Amino acid sequence: MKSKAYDSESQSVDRNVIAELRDVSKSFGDVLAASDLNLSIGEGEFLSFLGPSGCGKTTVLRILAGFEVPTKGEVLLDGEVVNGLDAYNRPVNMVFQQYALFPHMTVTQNIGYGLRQRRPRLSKTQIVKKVTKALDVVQLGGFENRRIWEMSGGQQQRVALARAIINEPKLLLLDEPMAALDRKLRKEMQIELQNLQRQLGITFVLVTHDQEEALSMSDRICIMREGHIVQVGSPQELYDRPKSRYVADFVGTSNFFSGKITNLTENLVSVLLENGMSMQGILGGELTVGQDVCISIRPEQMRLHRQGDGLTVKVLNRIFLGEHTEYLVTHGTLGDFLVLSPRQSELNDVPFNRGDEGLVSWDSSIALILENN
Amino acid sequence: MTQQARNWLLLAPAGTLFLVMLIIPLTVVLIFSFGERAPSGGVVPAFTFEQYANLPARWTAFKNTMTLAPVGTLSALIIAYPLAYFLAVKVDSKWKTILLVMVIVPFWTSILIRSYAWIFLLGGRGIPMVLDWIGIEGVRLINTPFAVLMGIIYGYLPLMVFPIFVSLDRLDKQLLEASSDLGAKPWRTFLQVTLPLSIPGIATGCMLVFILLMGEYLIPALLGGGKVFFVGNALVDLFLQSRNWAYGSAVAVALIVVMLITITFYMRLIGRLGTSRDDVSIM
Amino acid sequence: MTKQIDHISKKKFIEELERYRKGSITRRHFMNITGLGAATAVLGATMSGPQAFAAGDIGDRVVLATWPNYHDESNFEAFTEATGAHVQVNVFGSNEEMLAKLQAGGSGWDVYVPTNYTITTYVDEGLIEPLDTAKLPNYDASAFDARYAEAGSVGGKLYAVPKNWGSTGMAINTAHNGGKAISSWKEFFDISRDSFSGRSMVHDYQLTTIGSALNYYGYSFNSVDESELADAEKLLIDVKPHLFAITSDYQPSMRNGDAWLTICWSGDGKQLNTDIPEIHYVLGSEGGEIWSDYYAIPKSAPHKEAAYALINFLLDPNVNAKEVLAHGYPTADSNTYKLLPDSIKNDPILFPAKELLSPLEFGAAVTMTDPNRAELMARFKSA
Repeated sequence: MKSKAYDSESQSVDRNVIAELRDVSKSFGDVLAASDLNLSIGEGEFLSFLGPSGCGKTTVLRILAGFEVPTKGEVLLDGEVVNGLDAYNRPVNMVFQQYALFPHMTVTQNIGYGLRQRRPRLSKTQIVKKVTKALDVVQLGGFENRRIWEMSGGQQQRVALARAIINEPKLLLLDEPMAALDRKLRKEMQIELQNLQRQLGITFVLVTHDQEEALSMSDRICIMREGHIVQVGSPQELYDRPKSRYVADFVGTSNFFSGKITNLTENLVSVLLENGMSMQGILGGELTVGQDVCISIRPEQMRLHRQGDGLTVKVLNRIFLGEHTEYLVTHGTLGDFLVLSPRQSELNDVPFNRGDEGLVSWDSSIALILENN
Repeated sequence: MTQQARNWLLLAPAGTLFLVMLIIPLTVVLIFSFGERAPSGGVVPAFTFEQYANLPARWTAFKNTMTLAPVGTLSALIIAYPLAYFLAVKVDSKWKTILLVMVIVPFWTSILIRSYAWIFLLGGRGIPMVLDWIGIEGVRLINTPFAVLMGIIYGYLPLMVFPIFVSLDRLDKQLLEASSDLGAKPWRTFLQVTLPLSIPGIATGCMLVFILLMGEYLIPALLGGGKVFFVGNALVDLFLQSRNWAYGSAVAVALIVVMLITITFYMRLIGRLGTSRDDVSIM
Repeated sequence: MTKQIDHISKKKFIEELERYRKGSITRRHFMNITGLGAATAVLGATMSGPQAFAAGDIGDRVVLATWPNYHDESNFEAFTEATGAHVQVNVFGSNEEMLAKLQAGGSGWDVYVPTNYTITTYVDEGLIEPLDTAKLPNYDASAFDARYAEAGSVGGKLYAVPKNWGSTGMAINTAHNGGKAISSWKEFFDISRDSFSGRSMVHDYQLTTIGSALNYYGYSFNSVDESELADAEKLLIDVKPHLFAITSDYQPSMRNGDAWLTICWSGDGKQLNTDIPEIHYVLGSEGGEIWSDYYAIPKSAPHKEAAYALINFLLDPNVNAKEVLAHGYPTADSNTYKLLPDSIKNDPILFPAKELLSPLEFGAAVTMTDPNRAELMARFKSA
């Protein structure tokens, strides 16, 4: 089956659809964990579900794995409805958050577990060959007969990964796999995981609450909130053109100014802010006159300077971040907001210090008018 | 106080008890076993192997014990495991405590009184009468080895359920999902993950029940009508009826030796089976 | 709505209580039908009984080791009221058990109730001492039938005074034998292997079980002859697969119909017959046991004064008559006998005809200490 996988706006290449959610809802008692989800996952893609805890992202993963049966809607794998298909019959594997390695088995036995369940049986030599290869892929050669509890956290994660990929699943599900690792190891694993995905060509579905992780690894990100999909898109898309304040806030950092639309023209839209100021920007979604909205401006898209036009602000705080310097400034009407200044402009100009006055300006075409929620 | 002195102090109560209640009596029993029966009962000191030479006279009691103890342990295991599994894995956590308490509640009443309840249930006006009504006639239950087995399973079930429950309750439920995820059908998940990881609980439960069963005498006396005779019953008779302390001591020593051999063998077996890290909780 | 809140009515309860007090039913039966069993069993285990309000000269308590259903509780209450000493009762199932406990030491008993044939053993073992009759003014030696009193004296010294006597025969549920009773141990063991297979019981007690098997062959109840014992063993082992149980607690199975035939003591026989008339108590024509129980004081008794006071109190004919009414076993004391109602004096179970009693034997001391009889019993039980 060849079909176009995504909405036009996702800007991704066309891929075969490997998995699909159609109007999927899942409730636990009175709690609606997932509501009317619609999503296509393309073959070989790296898709992340991003959202705060309790947003329903893990439920989606468990529905794909077969641990949960949707209350409503259909789950398709490779074009077939699999709602009633048990986890053990799905060509899908998972890397669990705490790895869930079998403590009574060696590394080899853990990795070969999935192969041993195959019917008709695989021969011993076939299994050994595949396990050796998998160990190689995750760089754990020489650890074959180790016990699980003799391995470090990072090593355990590799075992969990090898145990899953050895089965060549249609989908590899990763449930916050990096949560238990320290920061440095996490960075390394992120890169490794990405390489692995490219090398194997397996579709990866990752669940995470860490936006940085999602941004750096994914082809597409699906942002969730209270059981709903809020927006799906490539990392750049979500960053540059968030459709709501929620997404803009969750992906990257932004300054928000709330108000109402007063005038809709073709190019720029005027917004009357709550504090009485009027500001212009471009529409970030389908909005109407009189609607409650907010204007979102990323700190790095604002400039802080001494000459020319701009709003007069006072610098409250300054944090040096290496390639950027972050200023917390305050404006008589707009209040406090952040401005990021690139290192280069800092070097060209005299840097601002606490208490200094300056001017802030931005291009109205980057001020996004978004639904205020 | 030094650390060492403190350690000794911690050990003192148990150590004293161990000495007074176990080592000394065992030594006395050992000494008695080489003695002779006094004319009107009791023991006169001697050094003779006569009592040990006479052990075959209690062969039946040993045979019965060595049959019923493993059979009873195994039966209790077969009944306890599904129950423990149900309590640990299937039951909603809010019901767990209540159901667990219900498993213990019978223990609040003495085994004597509970056995009398079984005497009634298995007697002619109990289950056999009900069977009679539905057309199954002539069933005899009370005073049979079956009745003794029933009583034993009933009496020892909680001792088996608890260790297994604990090991299953501690089992990470994600391991079961992981197994299913990797393609194992439920039955294979049970055999490859659940069962091996509950071996420590099974081992502890079996050990507890087996050891206590080796010395059991009350249940066979009450539910076996005096016809199902264990080493425990032989000991009661030797000390309380015929007052042959010397021979009784020899039988007791023999029982302890048989027990030690069985347990050593058993521990080896478990050692080979149970391989999971700190979970090997027995000894 | 009626006021019947329990499973038996008030009227019925009172009736049962009266029957219980009269001794026509056992304590266990009473508790079973009234539903008091479990409650009293638990209470009995935890309650220590009334504390002595005024510890008199004899101390605040006396410990009695005796047999089940063998006293009138109200007599003990009266004793406590009169003396301030509370009676603590320990119940035993066999003479062997009593001897084992005394031999092991630390029994704490003040008074106990040995059977005739065991007394010489206690004397030989130095476990009891002669009684000081000056402290037993109620003991009138001349009032006792010598047959039931002589075992209390050893070597011319009085060690024990008679309590009650009785016989060991058999109880048969005639409903399962065409309405007919049987009359011999031969019949007992023969029908046990035939029409009564799986329905008969022998005692868990070497004296009566081996004794009955010896009677089957016409041997003495007390035999320690090796070839005679070998015959008895053969019979018992042959019968064993046909037995319902080997137990001395045979009343429940006889009452609920599981068992139809048992070796039986006369008092139990009386109780069974009163409640279930088709259960007959009969003596074996070949012989059997006649026995007499005694009160004695162990050398180790911690409350000797109280022990004398209790025995003396229980020997009072008025008190003793109440005892007999409660448990149903006859007394050898003519002063007490006079106070009993005719219905008891004429009871054929309690006071059988002379010709039926004549083949019976008192147990012999040797049976208790003979190692062969003890081992025979053990082999029989473990076979």
